[in-house]
Amino acid sequence: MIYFDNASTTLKKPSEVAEAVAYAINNFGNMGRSFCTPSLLAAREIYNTRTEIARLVGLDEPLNIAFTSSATESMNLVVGGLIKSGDLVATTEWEHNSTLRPLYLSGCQLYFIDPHNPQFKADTKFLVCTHGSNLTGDIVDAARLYQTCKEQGITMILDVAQTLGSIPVTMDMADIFCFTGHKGLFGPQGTGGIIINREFDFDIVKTGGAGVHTFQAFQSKEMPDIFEVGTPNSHGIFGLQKGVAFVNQTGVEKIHNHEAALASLFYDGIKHFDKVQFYGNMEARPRLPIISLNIKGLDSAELAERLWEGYGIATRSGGHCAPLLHQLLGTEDVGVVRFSFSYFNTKAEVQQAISAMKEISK
Amino acid sequence: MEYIITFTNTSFAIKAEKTLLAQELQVGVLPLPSQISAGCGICLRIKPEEIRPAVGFLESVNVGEMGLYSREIRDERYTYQKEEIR
Repeated sequence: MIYFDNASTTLKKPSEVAEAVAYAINNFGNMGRSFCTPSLLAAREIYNTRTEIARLVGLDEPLNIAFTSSATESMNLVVGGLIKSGDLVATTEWEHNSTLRPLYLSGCQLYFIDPHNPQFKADTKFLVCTHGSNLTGDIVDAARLYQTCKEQGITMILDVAQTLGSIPVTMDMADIFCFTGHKGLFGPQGTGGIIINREFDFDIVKTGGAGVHTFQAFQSKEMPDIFEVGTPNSHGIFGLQKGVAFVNQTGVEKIHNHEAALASLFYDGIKHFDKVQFYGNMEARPRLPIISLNIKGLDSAELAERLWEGYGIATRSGGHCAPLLHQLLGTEDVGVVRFSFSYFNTKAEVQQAISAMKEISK
Repeated sequence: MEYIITFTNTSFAIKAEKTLLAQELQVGVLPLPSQISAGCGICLRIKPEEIRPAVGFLESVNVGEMGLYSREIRDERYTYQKEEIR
């Protein structure tokens, strides 16, 4: 098998990730529920995971990171905790449903901006947008957007599900970041989180046991407790720590350069095929290691099936949970086939994919 | 006699433990005594000769609101006395 569906989840992880999860399952107690060694072991390693992520993004305070089950849960908690019905909120047509649906549910007044040329309406309270499109691989200049938001008193919430670990993500890009652990950070599925750049008065949208303040009626509003209710996924979080440590040790720039080289190799190898149509700005740099395409006259599902059945190449077809961008691209009826590359993919694998595309697109 | 430092959540307590261990102070982790706060959670135990530097180090980092207590054994039971942080 050749796995080119890394934007869905990275399949190959550093070996330390699975080893850590196995160790944690056999040794971790429940963080914050007692003071015995297994419980403290879990609590300490969860804290160490915060420091590893803080190091990656240049954050001074590790406790400004809260763990969740996914970027989707993070976005639900942040939007639910901050945005009120009627608030004027800007977003883009690049967004994943994990952003769009919480916004729709909030009852806010939503409007769409061009992320490359943002024009904000007066009294806009929030910008909620992706750092990089999961469909096209195009990148938003988040630092520039954030500067504009600060000048206009707009709180910026950034979805870094596709970018964290693949391109630099730094604290000068947003007020709040929603991330996942299982893509560019090489962690286990079921891990993700929220990073805040300053203090916020979040409404409590998730409540229950947290190991402290047992006799109080309401959940603590302190970070990270406000988002960390119930038994944390300490096994997964310890695995995530090892994934992030790999990214820190390897360096985001080195990871990006390798992934970008694979994407360029693939694009250059197939761009002259007459029937192949690409989506996104292929010349922009940086861009995510994603090449999305169709073969004219072929449904995306059929192309993905041929790649898998005939060549053992795993891609993703269909809508990619990005309905508005598909409408912009005119692909809502056929979908798109997405090739997404990882640090662990090789040039030889890309060459096989080029050969497969050559045969299929004849 | 020894001192107990309490925190408002487990993450602050763990951060405080790491901070003090990095300064090579002797620190123990205990379950939060019910006499101090009903419920559950953890707190730190500090030796009397190290309590002032310990508080000083913790005040230089963000560990939330702390509580300071002295602990002694009287009639074979622990008794707790709230102390001023400063």
